[in-house]
Amino acid sequence: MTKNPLVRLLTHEYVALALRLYIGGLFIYASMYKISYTAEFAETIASYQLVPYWAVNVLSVFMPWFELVCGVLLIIGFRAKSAVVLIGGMLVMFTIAVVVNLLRDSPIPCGCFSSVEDPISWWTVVRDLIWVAMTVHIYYFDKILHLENHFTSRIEKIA
Amino acid sequence: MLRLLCLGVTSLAFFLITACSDPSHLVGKYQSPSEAEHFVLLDLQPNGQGTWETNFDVVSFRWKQRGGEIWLHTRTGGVITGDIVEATRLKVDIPGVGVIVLERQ
Repeated sequence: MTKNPLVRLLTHEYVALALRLYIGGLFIYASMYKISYTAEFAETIASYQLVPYWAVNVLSVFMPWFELVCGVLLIIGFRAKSAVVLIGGMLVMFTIAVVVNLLRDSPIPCGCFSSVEDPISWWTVVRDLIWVAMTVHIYYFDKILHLENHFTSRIEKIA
Repeated sequence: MLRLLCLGVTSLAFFLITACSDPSHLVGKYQSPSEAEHFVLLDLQPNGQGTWETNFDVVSFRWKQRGGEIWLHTRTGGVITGDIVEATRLKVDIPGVGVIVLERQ
């Protein structure tokens, strides 16, 4: 049975590759500022009022590096499925945090890319959900240009 | 060929992400005008460090140029942004105080 051309285009591996590079690059970019200005990111986490106080500093140090590693793994295609699941999980977590604060009417900035941003809005939620959808697409349709495949094929040749 | 293209695009993206404009033209001391309500002396050092001096205290920070703005990052996690006007004046908006104009000395 032949697929609809539009469905074939939307599920094409090249689309998944483009999304993989985009989401990976996005997470690398997002991590850069937070790694440089950890104290500011701690303030941002605290402003969400969702994390216990003892976890704020730990998260502000750990999370940006986690974003960076996941972004790099996704771009180079090493354990890409695991990386995209972790990134998707983070995005779901961020979306829930934004929704909770929107319901609280807290006029806090997102803190996604820097400390000085516009306050969160429902558009922030829509944007995050689009990124979640992209991670789902990557999970199911990404097949090409994986560094991991390059190594495993070499191991198979040796074996 | 496609691999090479992807590698090139990724490398370019990485360099663009990590690139930043040269802020050396901003290095120097900036002071509020004598008729201003609040005395402020801002010292932007070439190593990216700086100090914000008022009649009450001295605050040290790291500074960075982002487009047409200057961002002052304090050690405690605060950030103050200001507009760069013709590289000789800085318009800094302090929450609770208002806009302070600083002239290069």
